Amino acid sequence: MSEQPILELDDVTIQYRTAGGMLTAVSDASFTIGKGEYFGLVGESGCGKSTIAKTLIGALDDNGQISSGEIRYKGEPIQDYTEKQFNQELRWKEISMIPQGSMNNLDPIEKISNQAIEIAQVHTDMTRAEALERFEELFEVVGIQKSRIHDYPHQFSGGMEQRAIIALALFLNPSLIIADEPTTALDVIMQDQVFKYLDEIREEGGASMVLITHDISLVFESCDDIAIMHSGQIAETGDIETIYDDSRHPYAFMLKGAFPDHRYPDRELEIIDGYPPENMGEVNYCTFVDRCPYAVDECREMAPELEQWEGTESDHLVACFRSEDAYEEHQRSMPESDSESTEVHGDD
Amino acid sequence: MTENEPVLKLENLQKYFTDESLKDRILGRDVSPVRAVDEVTIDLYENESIGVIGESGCGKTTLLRTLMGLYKPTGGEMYYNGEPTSEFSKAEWQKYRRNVQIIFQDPFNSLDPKFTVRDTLKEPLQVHGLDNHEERMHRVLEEVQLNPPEQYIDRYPKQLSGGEKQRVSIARALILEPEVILADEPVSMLDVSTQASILTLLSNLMEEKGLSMFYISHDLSTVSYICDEINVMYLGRVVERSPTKKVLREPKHPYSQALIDAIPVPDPHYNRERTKIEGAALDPVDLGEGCRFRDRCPERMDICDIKPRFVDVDGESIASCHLYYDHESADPAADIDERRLASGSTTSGVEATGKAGDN
Repeated sequence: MSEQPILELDDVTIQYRTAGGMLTAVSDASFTIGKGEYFGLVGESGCGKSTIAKTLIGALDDNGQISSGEIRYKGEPIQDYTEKQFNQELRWKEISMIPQGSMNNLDPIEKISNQAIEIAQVHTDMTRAEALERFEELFEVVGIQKSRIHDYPHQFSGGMEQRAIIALALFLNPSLIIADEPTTALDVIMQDQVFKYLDEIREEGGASMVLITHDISLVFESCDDIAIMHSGQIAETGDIETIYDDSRHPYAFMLKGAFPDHRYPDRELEIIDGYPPENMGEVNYCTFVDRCPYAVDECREMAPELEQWEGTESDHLVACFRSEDAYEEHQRSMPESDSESTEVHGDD
Repeated sequence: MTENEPVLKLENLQKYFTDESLKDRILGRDVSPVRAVDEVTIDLYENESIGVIGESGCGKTTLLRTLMGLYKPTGGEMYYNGEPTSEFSKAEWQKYRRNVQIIFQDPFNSLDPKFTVRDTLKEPLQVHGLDNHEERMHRVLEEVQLNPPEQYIDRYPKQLSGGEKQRVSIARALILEPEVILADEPVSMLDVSTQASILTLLSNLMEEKGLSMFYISHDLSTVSYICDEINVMYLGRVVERSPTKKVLREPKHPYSQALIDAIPVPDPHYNRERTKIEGAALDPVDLGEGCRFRDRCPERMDICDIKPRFVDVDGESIASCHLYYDHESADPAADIDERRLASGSTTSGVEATGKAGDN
């Protein structure tokens, strides 16, 4: 990647001040997102993925702080940006956000067109007419009749409202869109409708995206690269094919195995025992250690660093002391892979 | 088991909601009801688990609440071991509620935060006047694999993880030794790593205890781990009934097809096409008698304005769709009318083939 990356996270640690001390939500996280790239950040509840999303648009809760590390947007460090800087320089026109589709992200008593005009007037010098014209165009992009920009949010169904939010997120031509569980509250057909438009944006190559989700199948279908997080640490990252075919971190391959695939209804699902720990203060251990069947003492003594997995040319990074042995042990313990023969979904 | 009577039998069960104000009534205005559950016919036999699948608003939760006795059906009948529930006395309802237990979707809100596990489990025992509390509680906690029970019994919900909370909910449902479990998306709020263990636990318990289960969900990819047969519901009506693996492989009704084609596949090498279905489901008000899916259906025909019959498509799948029967020839043998469906003869045929396929 010779081109300037859109976003780089370098050993970023994010902590919350709580009554019990500093709670570490994200611990030494690093990843890079190139221009036009769709990047999936996957993990279970509480793994720190939404904390990263909030941090990127400067919306971390009041008791949260970036304790160390650097976040660079187009090469420029932004971790110390003030609220004013975020507003003037980044929000909407550089980095925009598609929040969780929970039906209450739009102002209920304001027409959607007025909400767009307000964004345009705060962040650009577009005239009212220009703003409306641009917004009408975007409504067509996301598949809603342009006349409906003057509707109120309640006049839309859940899927349409989420698409209207996507139109707003695209409105000022940002270079980076952060989508935090954009379709979690939607039914599966509507979810697919929304992703149809996200695909189109990707084909046009305009914006990069961070897709934050617990659903690994959405990332495998829609992203270029993926990072899998467990309790604040990035376990493994790489392009989706590599991670699908050849993941090496126990959490990564176990999570993959736990995910149901309707094409193989007989496949046994992997069970990951236990639950993620609450990390206070410095995290100098692998956060997966208590759930990992392959853990050794070393895993409790220090935090594994993300390292290039040998034998691959792409950027395939794994943070595990036992990635080699664990993978082999896991392969051996698997029941014979007869999933191909029991395939039921004989499409195409 | 096919000779036996179904444990629960729904016959043209109907639940309409009418939001009629006093003014409407005085002026004699007709208000169109919301047809949340519209003529649903399902039989549940002993040790069988039947899924009801559909998107939000399809009426699956209303159906469940009607089964719990929280709503009074506005039409049709519900039979419990052959007895019509509409004629139940208070004592019979109490017995019904003891034998038909529910597991809720959200373990984070369905447990009282001020109750320890012991309090949660004790309450149903006291209500139904059972003895040997401690012994029953320990046994049920072992059954849901909260081992050792002593370690969990005095904990509050906030001291339990999501998966453990859901195990407590399951224990609460099992402690009265019910015949039927109604499960309302019991794994949808859980992380994927715990989902599998709860699904396995539920299906093992079903097997061991010979329980019957109604399993309600929007998630078709997990339902195959629990259910032998599923009913796909759309806007209050069942549109297809098939063995679970059959519907995943070969959905018959255009809506089931759309639903299955839209499920994301966790495999980057698999090229799935995005859905072609436009728009969202309407409210089930004033939709006329025709097929409920007709406005979004890619196969729409003129005849779809008439209510489609249930037809046996291929000996396994039953679909309510005009595509699957010849309207010219009035061959009565080709149709399955609701009466035959309700008698269970077709359902048990479906089930037998489904079971044979599994093993």
